[in-house]
Amino acid sequence: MSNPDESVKNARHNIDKLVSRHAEALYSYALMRVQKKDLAEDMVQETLLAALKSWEKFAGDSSERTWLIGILRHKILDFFRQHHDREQMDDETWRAEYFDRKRHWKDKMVNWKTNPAALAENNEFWKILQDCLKELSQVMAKAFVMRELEGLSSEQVCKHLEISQTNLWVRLHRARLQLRRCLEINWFA
Amino acid sequence: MDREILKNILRILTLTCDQAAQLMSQMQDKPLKKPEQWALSFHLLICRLCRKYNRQLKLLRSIFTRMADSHTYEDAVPPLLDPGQSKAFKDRLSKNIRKNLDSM
Repeated sequence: MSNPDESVKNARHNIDKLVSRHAEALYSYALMRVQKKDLAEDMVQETLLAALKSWEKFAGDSSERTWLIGILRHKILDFFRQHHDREQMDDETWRAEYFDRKRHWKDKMVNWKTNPAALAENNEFWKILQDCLKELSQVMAKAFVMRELEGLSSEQVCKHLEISQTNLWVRLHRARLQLRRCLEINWFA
Repeated sequence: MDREILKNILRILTLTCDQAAQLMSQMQDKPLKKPEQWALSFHLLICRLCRKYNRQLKLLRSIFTRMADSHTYEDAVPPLLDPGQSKAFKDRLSKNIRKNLDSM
């Protein structure tokens, strides 16, 4: 297997199999996190290329899917770190969006009748959620994706994005308010 | 009375919805301090909208946890989000990867 020509030949052999088994799952994983179709597709391509090139290293002690997601995840987190944008968010403007002058809710808040398990398998809901995530500013989206979708601890997110705890909480808080409203309007209402 | 206690009592009585929302969000990431907990609990007793928000935050967390996991199972194929473009997408990908490997 040390012959590079040989491993490229083996890799070529695996392309269609890998693409048909995993490409869609990898793509939707990436798209949910980076919100840009071109970027998501590029990341999938790079992931599969990297996997094919290092096929011999795949020990088979995890599933193919887990291995590929691991590579993709790395690329996404790298992207987040490289493109950190410092966006100023004015406190008062933002607050006035959700709360009135007495600091009460502006939103009505309908009752969400739902079953999380069923929802997570509902294609329509995925699309709505994707649209809602796209509406978030980059600054909020990144923090939110790392914390909620990647399941990193808040310490890990702060370290990765080089921001303070307080800054992270502000981002997450605003992201949650905005997502809540977006999902309510587009799905639950 | 101790100033600190007075401050806490005042906080319990005057917590606004926007402050409560902030605490509920923080609670998703770390345990609150005792006085914050008291203030929030009291506020939730008297505020229907904040109770709803709190329930919805918990619900969102559990939905996201499920969605985050759903790609890792070997057979799971979460939606491509662009139905009908699946074949074109895969063909394009295979072609690009071939081209890339050839140029190595």
